[in-house]
Amino acid sequence: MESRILPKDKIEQFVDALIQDYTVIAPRDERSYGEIASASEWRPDGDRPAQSLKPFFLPERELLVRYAMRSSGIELVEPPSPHGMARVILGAPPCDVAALPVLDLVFQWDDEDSLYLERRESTVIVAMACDEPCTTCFCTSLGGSPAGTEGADLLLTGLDDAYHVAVISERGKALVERYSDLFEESVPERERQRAETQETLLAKMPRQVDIEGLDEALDFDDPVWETLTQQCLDCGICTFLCPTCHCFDIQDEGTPEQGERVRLWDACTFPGYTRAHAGQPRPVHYRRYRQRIMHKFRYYPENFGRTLCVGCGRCIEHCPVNIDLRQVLSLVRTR
Amino acid sequence: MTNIYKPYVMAIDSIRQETSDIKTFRLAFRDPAAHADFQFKAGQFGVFSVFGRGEAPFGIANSPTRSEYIECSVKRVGKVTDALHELNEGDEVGFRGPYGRPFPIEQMQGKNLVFVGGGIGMAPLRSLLWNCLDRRDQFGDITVVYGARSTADLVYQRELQEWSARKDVDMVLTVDPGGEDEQWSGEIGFVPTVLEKADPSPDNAMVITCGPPIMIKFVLVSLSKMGFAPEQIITTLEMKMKCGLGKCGRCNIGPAYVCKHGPVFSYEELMALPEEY
Repeated sequence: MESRILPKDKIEQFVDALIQDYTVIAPRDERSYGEIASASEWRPDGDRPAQSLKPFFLPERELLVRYAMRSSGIELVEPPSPHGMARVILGAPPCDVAALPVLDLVFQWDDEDSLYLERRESTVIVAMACDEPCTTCFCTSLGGSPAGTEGADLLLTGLDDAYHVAVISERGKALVERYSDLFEESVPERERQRAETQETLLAKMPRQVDIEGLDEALDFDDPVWETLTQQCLDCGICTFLCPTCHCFDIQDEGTPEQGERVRLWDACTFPGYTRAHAGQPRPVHYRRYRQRIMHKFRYYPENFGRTLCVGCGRCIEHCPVNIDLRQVLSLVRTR
Repeated sequence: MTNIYKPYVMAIDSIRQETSDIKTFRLAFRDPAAHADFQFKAGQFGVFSVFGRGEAPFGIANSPTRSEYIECSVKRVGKVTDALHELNEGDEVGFRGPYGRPFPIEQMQGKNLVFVGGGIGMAPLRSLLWNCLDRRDQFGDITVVYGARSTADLVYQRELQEWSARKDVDMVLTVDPGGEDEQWSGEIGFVPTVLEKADPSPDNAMVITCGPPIMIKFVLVSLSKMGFAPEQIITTLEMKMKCGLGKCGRCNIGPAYVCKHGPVFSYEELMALPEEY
């Protein structure tokens, strides 16, 4: 793998140069990522934001089409293409970045979702290896790593006085070449430091979930589901903060004369999600929670070849009633 | 890339009141070029919309062999269907589609076909039935068992007469006990019972059934008694849907997306899915 070194005293210059040329999105505060207007707004050493990168590709509320009644009939106006908006995501941890290729699978499936995919295509991703694992995360159990490169164009790893910059993709390479005067060639000593940093970090991340054969072990008919998460409030926070949950609703906002058709986040944890005139297939909580787990760890792998979870642990960290996905998975499989 | 959520604008060409709460809408593409490019197969569905009220999925009720228009039969049950029922001829609606896996019509060639419908479940069957009738020599015997709660709840009444009058269709109509009126000359009884009485042979046959879940449930029991194997039975499922394109996640039954792997399933396929529909 090709790599470079970015001295820490050049990082501000790098970020400001990016801001000149791109919309730069970085961890802005503990709540969320956001656009930064100068290098000083970036918190490279701060905690991972509560919200993932998902809203930047699948916004909470997104215009699909605008309609207006004219004398000649209904006029439909499409939202401007997100193409060409040229964004850089900077300093996102590998779990958040790894979630994006997972989402791509469904948004590319047969009918390409242009709104999502054009955002993906116009965004360069500069990931940053974690320096300390969270207490709730378990990415290594799912094949990820605190220094994982899946979905990234560049991966920064913090060394003492510099960042090691692993060049993952052609798009990443183009980015380091564009600002080549800021980067130094890497040397074996730097590679050794990077490897050592990663090993130290990996050693702090025990495997917490046994994923091997989990899909087969998940049994729809197992009575364990019925009492597994009775404390759940069906609040949906786990789905909204999940970087891979992607279920949505489509609604019209406005009057018959004019308005907008929008896509809104939705969640399988809500009764209204499947309630239809014909009936409600998941009328009680445990059926909805079972669907969520089965979808992530059995159905998605069956359809797309990988789990719909990257082990970021946000659902554990933010659950108001302390439901721990790691425990849930081990309970349903040890029966 | 095109925006897959942008609907075609369709003008309502005509509206037929089928029953007290079901109307059939005949829709014409406003853009002739879009119409020229449009193709669908029997069993597929579309997402129809009333601007300002929202979208809802319905099966396409006309045959691909009669595709000058798109037709859908809509029962008034909620927000979007209420809004559709309020519309008049000439009004415009949205349409996205066609979506989903169609009936396996090629697999039906050379076979005897048994259509079993209940209530508004006749809509997707009508699409397939006309399709088969327009290619009549490619299929064996065609039997249709169709029932509704009462004579006033039977949809496509003019076509029911037309099919009944044909020598190449064995038409059995029924209404639930108490749903008959003085002129009624058809059967009186629930669809599964009437189906057993009609007793079509399972030899070289396929059944296509669509109707309320409770009817389907007992039709499957009857068919099994009559000797039909699960792979000979085809049905269509209804689940709440939004996108129709395998993105929004809501129509999942186990690993199946009803909008993509269905809405048409064989009973054999359904048996492999969790009972959550």
